[in-house]
Amino acid sequence: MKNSIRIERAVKRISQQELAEAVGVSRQTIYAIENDKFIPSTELALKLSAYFGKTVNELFSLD
Amino acid sequence: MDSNKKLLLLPNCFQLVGWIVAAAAAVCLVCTLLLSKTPFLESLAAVLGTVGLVAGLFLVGFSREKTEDEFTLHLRVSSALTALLVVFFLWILNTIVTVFLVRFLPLEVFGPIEIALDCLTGFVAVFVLYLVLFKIRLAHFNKKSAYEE
Repeated sequence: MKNSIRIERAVKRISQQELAEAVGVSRQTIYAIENDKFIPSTELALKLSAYFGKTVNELFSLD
Repeated sequence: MDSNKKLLLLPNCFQLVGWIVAAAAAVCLVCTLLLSKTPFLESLAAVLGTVGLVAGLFLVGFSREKTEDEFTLHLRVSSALTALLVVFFLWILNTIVTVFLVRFLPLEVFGPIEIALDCLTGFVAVFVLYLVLFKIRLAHFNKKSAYEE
């Protein structure tokens, strides 16, 4: 599973901490997702997509 | 995440209490065993120290982190599973070696107390290994994410 969270975060010019606070998780969680160490739940994926104004399919894709 | 709020975990403040209890029990255990010369005190210190140490570590292991989310839950579950597997294989190895030693070497056969102690040690070993793995992994991700800001 690939994702474009890091790119979207760079576009918005926000830190991992700011994104983590916005979606209600820890900074470690954002790091783990960006580095493909952890696949988020549907709930968190939806929160991230809502935050970036993208669909889940645009943020996450299969390898 | 809502699902994590349903987890049966103690509040975060219990972590500090747990560390204090565990440290005090460990110091008490070591000091009494080193300094005491009466068997009664030694036994009392061994029991109280061990129970205090395990109780303290229990508080640490089952208290919420400052931010308890689905990734923390993932780390908890994977650490518990790894700990269970490691101790399970060690237990098998221990059983095989013990049976081999008893069967082929002139060693004393273990009684029920030793067997019970082995079981307890196994259970505590799972918990301690879970705690160590969980804390190491959490610290690892904490450090890595701090660099990536």
